[in-house]
Amino acid sequence: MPRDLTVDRKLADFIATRTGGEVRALRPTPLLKGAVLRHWRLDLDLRGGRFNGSQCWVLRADGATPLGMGPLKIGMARAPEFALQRALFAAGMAVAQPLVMCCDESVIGVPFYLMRFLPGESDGAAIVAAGRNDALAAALGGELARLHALDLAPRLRFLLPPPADAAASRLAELARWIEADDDPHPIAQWALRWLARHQPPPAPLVLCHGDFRTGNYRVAEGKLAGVLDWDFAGWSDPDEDIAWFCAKPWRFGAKDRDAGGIAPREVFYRAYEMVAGRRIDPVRIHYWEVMAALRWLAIALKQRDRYAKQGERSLDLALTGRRVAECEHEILALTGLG
Amino acid sequence: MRDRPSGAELAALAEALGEEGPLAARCRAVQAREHDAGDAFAACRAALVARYGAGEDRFLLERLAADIRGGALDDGSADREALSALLRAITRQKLRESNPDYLG
Repeated sequence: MPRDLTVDRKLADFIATRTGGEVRALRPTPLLKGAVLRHWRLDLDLRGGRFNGSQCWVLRADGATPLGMGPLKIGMARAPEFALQRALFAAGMAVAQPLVMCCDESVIGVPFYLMRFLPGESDGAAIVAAGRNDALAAALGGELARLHALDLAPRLRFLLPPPADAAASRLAELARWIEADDDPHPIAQWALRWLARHQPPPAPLVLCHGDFRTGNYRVAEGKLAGVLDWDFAGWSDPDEDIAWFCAKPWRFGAKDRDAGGIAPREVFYRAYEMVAGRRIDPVRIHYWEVMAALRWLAIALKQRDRYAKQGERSLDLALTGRRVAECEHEILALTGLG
Repeated sequence: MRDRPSGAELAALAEALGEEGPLAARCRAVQAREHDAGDAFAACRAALVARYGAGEDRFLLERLAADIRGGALDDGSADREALSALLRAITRQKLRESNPDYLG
């Protein structure tokens, strides 16, 4: 959504129609949050309708280019994400309250939805730089366990069907992504082989966030304000979310704080186990951390392609292509070849 | 051997976009490190040529990937030690140029 008075007017009209109130001020401010989608903070002044008064909302919209192309496109569209977030909010999860969905592309050019703004910080590097925070890690562990325990299947039929075997399904998906890349990737091939040969028995599938990590939650005064970015959510092995949270890229350099760069992993594990009522198996988490390193490698290639093939002239996207070596280094280390 | 985009391409993009922030600085730093490194992959390339014969990097890495798919890195493989050392060397050199802080 460019700063364009026509777009602002259309958006204001849309909000007025959907809320039944008069929009006296919109005040959109771009937010840096998001590697794929785009966000604006709206400081609204509404008169009448169901949201009378000053409101602070976030507009979440598709990015300039998607992650992946054609059949290899990744992430759900805004409408199902909105529906998921609404179900999660109704279930009492720590998410921003979703307010209004807009599928009409004539309003700002792409589908978007509006939700309440959550206070605090979501920048991963800033959260990690604030230092060790065991209470935050415990809150996140508990929140993740509550997510995994939700029984929302009847309300979430719009999600992709559950795979028969989460690891096999993820492995097949990553193999397709790696094979589709223009360059050969010997270490990615090694990871695919290692993962195929070390696959653990399937676990019962649960609703997973799919990108549960530092950088995708909001922290206010050191406490969890809410979990963000549900576009990768789906049915999977709960250990995939746990391992992703502990994976090296999301520690933001805090190498001794495995749990998202904010605490030792045991703190996160214990909180998860307390709520989930099951013990976390380190062998399974190790497996899913290798998967996480390979998945981040594949995503880095796709982010690079948003620059190289899809025409989005972004330094951040271009530089992400050079992060592949970090994933390769991690794969070698985790598989005993480092 | 290097991942894409090259340091030169990154620096050119930063210049074309007129950016001067930390991301632009990282792009220029990658370019400078690649320039300073010269052909730092020569030994790795020579090892691959000895194994597969002469060819472009892409050909050599495709052959290596195919060997790995076929089990050349598996436990018990006669090539495991040599190939894992080669992969470590390539990866570490890529990191020295892309993100030396990662190596700590």
